[in-house]
Amino acid sequence: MSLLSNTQGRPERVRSLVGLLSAHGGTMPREEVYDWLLPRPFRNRDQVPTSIQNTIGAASDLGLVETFRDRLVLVHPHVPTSEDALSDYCHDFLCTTEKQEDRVLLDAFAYFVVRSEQHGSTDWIESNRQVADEVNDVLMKQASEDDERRFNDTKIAPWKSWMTYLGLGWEAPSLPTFYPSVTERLQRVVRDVGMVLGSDREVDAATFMRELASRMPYLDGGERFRSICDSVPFRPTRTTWILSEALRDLHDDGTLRLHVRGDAREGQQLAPDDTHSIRSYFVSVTILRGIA
Amino acid sequence: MSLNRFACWKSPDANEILRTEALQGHESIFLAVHTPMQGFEVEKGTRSAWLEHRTERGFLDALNREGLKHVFAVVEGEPGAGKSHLIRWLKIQWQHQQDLVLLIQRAEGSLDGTLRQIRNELAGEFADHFTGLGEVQQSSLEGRAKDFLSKLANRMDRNSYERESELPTHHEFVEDKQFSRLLHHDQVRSHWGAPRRIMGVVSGEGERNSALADFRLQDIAELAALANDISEVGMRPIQLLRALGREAKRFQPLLEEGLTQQQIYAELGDEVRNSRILVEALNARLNSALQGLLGISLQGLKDLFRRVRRTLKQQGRRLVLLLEDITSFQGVDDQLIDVLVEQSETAQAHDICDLISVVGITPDYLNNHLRRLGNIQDRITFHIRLSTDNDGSFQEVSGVRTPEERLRFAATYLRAVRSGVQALEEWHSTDLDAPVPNACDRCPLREQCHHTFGAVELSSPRHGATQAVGLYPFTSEAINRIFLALHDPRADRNLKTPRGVLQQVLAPSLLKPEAVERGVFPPPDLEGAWLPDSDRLLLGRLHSMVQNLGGDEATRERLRRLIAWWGDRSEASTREDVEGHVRFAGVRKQVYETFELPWLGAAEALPPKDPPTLPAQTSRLSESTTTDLVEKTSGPSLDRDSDGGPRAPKTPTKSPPARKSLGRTDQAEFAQRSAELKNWQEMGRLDDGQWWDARAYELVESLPWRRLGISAYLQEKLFTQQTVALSGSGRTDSRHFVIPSESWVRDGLESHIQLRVAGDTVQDAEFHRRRVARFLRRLARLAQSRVAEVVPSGADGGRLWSVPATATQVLLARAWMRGTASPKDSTSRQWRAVVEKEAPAEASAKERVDSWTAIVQKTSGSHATVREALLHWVNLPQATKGPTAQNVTFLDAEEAAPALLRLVQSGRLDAFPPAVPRREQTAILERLADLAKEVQQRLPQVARRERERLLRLCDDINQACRGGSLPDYIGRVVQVLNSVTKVCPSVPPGAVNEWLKVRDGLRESGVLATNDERGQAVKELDDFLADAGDSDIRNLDGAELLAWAQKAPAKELGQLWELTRSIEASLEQIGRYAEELVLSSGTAGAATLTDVQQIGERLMALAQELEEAIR
Repeated sequence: MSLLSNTQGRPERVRSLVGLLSAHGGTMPREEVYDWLLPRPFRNRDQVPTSIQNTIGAASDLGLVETFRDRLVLVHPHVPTSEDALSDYCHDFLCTTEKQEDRVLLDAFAYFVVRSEQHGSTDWIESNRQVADEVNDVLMKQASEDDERRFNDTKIAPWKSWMTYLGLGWEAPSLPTFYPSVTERLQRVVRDVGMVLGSDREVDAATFMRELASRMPYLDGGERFRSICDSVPFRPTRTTWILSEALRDLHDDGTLRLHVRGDAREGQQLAPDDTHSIRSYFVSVTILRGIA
Repeated sequence: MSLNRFACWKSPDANEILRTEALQGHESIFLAVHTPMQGFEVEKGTRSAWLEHRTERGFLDALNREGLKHVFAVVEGEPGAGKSHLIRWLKIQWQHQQDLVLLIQRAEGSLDGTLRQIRNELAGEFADHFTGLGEVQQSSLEGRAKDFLSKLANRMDRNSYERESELPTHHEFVEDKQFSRLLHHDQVRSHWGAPRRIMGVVSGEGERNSALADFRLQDIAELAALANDISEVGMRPIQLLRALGREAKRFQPLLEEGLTQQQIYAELGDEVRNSRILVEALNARLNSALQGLLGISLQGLKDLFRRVRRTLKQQGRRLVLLLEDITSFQGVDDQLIDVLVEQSETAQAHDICDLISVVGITPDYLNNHLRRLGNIQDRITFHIRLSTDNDGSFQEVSGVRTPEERLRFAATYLRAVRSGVQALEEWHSTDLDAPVPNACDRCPLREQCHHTFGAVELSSPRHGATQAVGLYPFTSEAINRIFLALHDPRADRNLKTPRGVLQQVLAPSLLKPEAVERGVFPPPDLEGAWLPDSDRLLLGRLHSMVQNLGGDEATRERLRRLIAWWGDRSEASTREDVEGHVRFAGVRKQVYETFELPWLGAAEALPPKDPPTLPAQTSRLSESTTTDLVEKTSGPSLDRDSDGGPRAPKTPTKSPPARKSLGRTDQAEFAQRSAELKNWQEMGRLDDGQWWDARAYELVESLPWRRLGISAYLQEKLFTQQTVALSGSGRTDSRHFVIPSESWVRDGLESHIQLRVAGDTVQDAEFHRRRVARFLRRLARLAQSRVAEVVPSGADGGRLWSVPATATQVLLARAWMRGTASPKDSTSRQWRAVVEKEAPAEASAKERVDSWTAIVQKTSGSHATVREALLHWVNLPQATKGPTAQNVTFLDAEEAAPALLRLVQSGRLDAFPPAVPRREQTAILERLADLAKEVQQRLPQVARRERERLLRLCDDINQACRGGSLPDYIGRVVQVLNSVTKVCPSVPPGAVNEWLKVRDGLRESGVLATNDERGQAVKELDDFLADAGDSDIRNLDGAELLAWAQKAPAKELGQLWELTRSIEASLEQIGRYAEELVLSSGTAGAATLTDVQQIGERLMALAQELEEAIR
């Protein structure tokens, strides 16, 4: 089982489970957990609903919960349960997990980034099935012959749910089925980067981008990104427009300041944007105080 | 030499040539700019069959047809459609030298001026014929307006007419309502603007533009508005005014919507009957009132023309009357028409000459005046129309109907302006057969200029040659785009006419060649009052590109104007055109260079769009003039780096999914919507607010609510279609989630709707998607702020109040007090008691301390509502929409579980706000806070107080038992009472009965067995009493104490306590009885020794029983 196989184990439900266990000192009898998450009078039959089984499964996949005899145990008793903190945890976990079934989540997102860059837009996104097929095709290039299909359209709904939870995109009526936008996540990552590189001081663009790549491996220069680029194949020549756009957003928001040097074409090349004051290049970044 | 700052014309020439009036005397200009008129429509006339060709020449031929002795020809067309031009052309082309050709121009627009023209034209031999034709008074306009109103008021009276047959329409109505009294009233004379307006029109005040002088519904509304200031005119006029006021309320909104008077009559019918009748009655009397002012008798004008025609008849000549605009005769137009229809052959004396008349009229005049004149229409010889009906609004005007006609028309004027008046006069005076001078023919920049700006091939049937006339500084797109955008916001007039091309398209630029010479073209004057704001805006990405261009504001504005009118303001792409020119936003690169404006296009260009489909007759135009005049089509999707940097590799892809339509939304509506947003930014008011609110809600609805930490409950209460509102879209209050008018909101909404209109380039579409994503990100923060506004901080002021925590704790406290859950139960069991529908209480709270009872009672009325809200709040359904979204499928324990545990551990509720703002949608929050307050006031002490109460009871009972066990005590008491009643039958029954009543109660509740007062229940109570003295109980606290108190047999202890109290009272009563008995025996004096001995024995026995009982 994987995070995406547990289709009803949505992020907010995982958070509920983690919060429940945390309140009880990190461990509870399974039956107690069931009675909390859906007391018997609300169940159709006296059996454990799939939603609870999937939620426990998803939490287990994320390394948050494990089973010990008839009890559920929180692996990290002090895992924070606020929306943002748990989202950070899940993001970090998915960035580093070695479990192939769960690596699929960010690999698929990396494909969104690469494919959108290759196309120059998200117009390539047509339907859940088409997206699932394309993602699967690319991921299977990295798989052995015996491997089963890694992505399909039934996984799209939970995948979108997790991506939105991680702050990597949006769903809206005028947007494609899932619109990749990393500003939310980047803002949180930049805060962490600021703790390492310091705030209110200029950091050269390359250093900054390296830090991002290590923390967001599905974006430019990151390990997942490079792997997907190889599979597509695609050779990036500049910052992807998805990351460029997020950097400009944070520049506008006052989270960071991108520095350009006149009209010089040096430093980190962004996807061009004629509508923005930061057109094509930035040489350094200042993460602004209060963010770090 | 280059085109930069090169103006190939002079301002004075443009000023002379672009004048649309008074070309008489400037025949050279007239001929130079004349565009043969053709393709007009022919209406039914008595000789319409003779109009073989629908051209100006065909019309002229028909008028000159041999044997035609009388012609009454009507040239119908919107103001500016070219009626005057055609009629002037007829004058120039009229070949019959012996005819008296009288051209009456509309130049002055006033009746006075018109009569003066007639007088001037007929000066000399006809001067004496003017006897009886009056002079317009020379008083001020205001003075004439008052005179006019007086005459109008008089015309409402029957006495003003000599004969019954002269009475105009609706005379009964105006007499019955005593309308003349109203018109004579000082307030009406001073404040009713209609007479002043009408006098202004007939006096040629301002630009008359064929405006009709007549009364309208709006005048009635204005009259009705004076009602409050009018008195002492009698009941009937006052009643009429009130009725008019009511009717005005009905028709004014429709007038504001742009409905015509006739449409309003059709829609409202009798609801505006009085107003309609008054409009008709006033207009029916208008001419006679005006004639009174002019001093013209009813026959004056007729007599004049009859005299002239008699003279001409005698001379063997014809009269040719060419009247540019019959509205110039308003006031005497009825007479004039009588003149025009009087035929020489039907005149009694056959003494008047033949008459050829051509009269220009507007569709408005035709419909509102001419058609009222009975059979006049049947006497029209030829009726041609220069404009055609267009969906009931303004008519399309011949000569400028198609893009090609407009370009041809504009090119003739551009040619003339560049050549100059002097060259035209030379041409006219020397060689009229030569082609019209064309400055382009000898211009060294011609090739470059025509290549960049386009040119029109003008052919002349007369000369057979063609001339290429450059459109510089315009392009075909600019001329057509400006023309198509012309719009009168008051809908008073049609501007899409030949006159519109001259005055609104060409003149603003050509009158100021210095704008080109100074490098500030296109100038601000280009955008006159008739170009709607909505058409000036650059849309979407283009707007942002120009805004972020940097540099000076004036340059950005010039760039905006150039793109808005010369290009395509919705397309931010760089594209090749069919001639291989690179265009950005639809404007050729060389045009930007010519006007020294920055080039925003990319280094690489998209391929041309599909060739536009153009009508066959455009084949004469060069290709450069036939670009995107039709709706644009989307081209292949390609990405471009606008800065020329490396571009990402491309792979062929399938077409993107078709975007949904906005219903009637297309690019035109999108532009309108963008303008609404722009107006919102500037004015703070959002037109069509409901439509915009609905668009905003579409995006609000799609937010990831649970990720934002906003429960389904709050989402559904605070963010509904009814409560989501854009600031300025309508009235809002504290119930609304108001989205401010900030740039990110406007951008997001604009992009949201743009994405639903097909036709964007890939780059543009992505730009809009990014803006929607940015909008969602900020909207999410705004929604969270809204929640923070509605859900206050807890009492500690820090974190947001956890509603599910408080709800859980209140309901759990209630469950504890009702005994349906114990703090010693598992948390899941207690949670179940919180969320489940309540089961019957296991113990009565009435037997407890007041605070215990109060917690149950205070929460009785609201617990079900709170529970329902809690479930809604913590429910995490898989589907967020649809029928299953309400099913309880998974509960969020994240806040509830720790709250429950905290209450168990501390016996205190978490912090909650001391007060919650009152809001209709979230009234339950206010109620919950109140309940929490009630519970919190009592819960921390309730267990301790109950313990104290219980222990007091236990002490009292144990004291009564005097150290013995409870069963023994009860047994002994039973025995005593049995003995007492036996030994002393006269013992007062009350003393025993009270005890018996309590005992029966204990039996009923099972504490005492029926036949065994020492049964199990009593033993259990006895055990509880024995434990009550234990110090451990005194040391209990928190959940342990509450659990102990819950388990205590509170009801039974209470009953026992009562029992012991009644036993003690009974024994005391029996004791008193015995004492009284002894005393009474000793003092009565009648008792024997035997009596004394018997009493002594009974007392002895009683004493023994009592002693035993209390031992």
